[in-house]
Amino acid sequence: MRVPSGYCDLRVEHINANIIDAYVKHGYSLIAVNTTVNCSLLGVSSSNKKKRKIAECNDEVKVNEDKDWIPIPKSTNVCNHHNLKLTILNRLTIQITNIGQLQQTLNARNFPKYNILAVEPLNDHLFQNLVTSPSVDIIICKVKTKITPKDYSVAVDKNIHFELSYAPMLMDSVTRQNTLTLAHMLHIKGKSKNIILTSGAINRLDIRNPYDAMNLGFLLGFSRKQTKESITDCCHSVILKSYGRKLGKSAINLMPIKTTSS
Amino acid sequence: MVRFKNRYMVVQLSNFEDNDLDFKISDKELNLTVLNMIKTLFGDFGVGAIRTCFKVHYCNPSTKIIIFKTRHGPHKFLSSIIPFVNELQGKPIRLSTLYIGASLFQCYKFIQNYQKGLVRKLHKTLTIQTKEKILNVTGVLKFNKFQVYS
Repeated sequence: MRVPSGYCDLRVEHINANIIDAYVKHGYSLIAVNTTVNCSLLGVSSSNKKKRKIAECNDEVKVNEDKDWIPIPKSTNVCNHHNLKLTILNRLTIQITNIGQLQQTLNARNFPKYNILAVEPLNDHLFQNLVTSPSVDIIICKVKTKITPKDYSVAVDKNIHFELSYAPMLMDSVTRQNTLTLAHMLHIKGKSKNIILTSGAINRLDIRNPYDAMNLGFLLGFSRKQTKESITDCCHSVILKSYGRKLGKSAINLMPIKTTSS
Repeated sequence: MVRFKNRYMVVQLSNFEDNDLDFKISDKELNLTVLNMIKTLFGDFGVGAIRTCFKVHYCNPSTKIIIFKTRHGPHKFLSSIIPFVNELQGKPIRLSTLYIGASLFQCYKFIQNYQKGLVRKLHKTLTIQTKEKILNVTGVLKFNKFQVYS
């Protein structure tokens, strides 16, 4: 693992050579390829709890396997010569309706292949549980999610980040309004602390210059410091937190440096 | 600790037709017309910014005094579009700002004084019933002890 630095974009929906080229050209140093899994659609068929659990696990693994293998070969195959400049991570987004689905995801076989875990709660009361759970890196909010200032401050203490993505905002008027409302709501509830700004780009044209992305902070109600942090420091702390989760409880991680003997 | 500031805007609605009895103001329609006006003038940003905390807080059908509640910040959008709200329920109306306050109690005090001044100005032509109607400003505050005061 490399120590993260520079501009980051923690949500890209697809990846190919074009997109990587665009990111390198714009000067990003780290991107994360997103995979979305809707846990509420996973099968709940048999009444027996144990059986159901096994079935769910199998389903989930299947879903993960199908989707897991999509980003990794692309990120390794596409351009090896870019690897020095651009780090490509994998990120899992799960949409959950109860807290058990989060546990199932954590136990899934393919989960360790992902670097970052983002959770999108589909119920209101779920938000409180998510805020206190140690394994979540990013929480995705919608306009209708009820956030209390207390929950927000707990999330900030636990180093959980909130996400705003700008690519859906560019196309549609309704989503634009919703994103702006959400951003202003986060400003009311917790003064826009711990917010990361991501692209959510589907194709190459959605990607913007990091400086342009930073200027978007004016619309979203950030301060000047927060706009810079939303694309650099906050993203770094997300990555470091997710890495720390894999190690378990630890303060320092020592790694031998590969010496290149001449 | 003050988490965030609010602004309460006291607005007088006047319609040009004489048959006042038919004209009923509903909160939702007022809300929609104002939001539409903000959308035409300030676009998506204006609507997105103001939707977080915009609300028609109080609406008195007899005196036609309305209180809008917004967050501090987007209140500038609201105050600047108020002259442009021309139509409600297909009828021409006019909104005019009377007062902008930071707390409901200040607005309440202002409305009371305003209505008293109105009664003083017109006291020769008014009957007692209409006087009471004009001076009745209950419901602005949700607290009972202030309502007794009126």
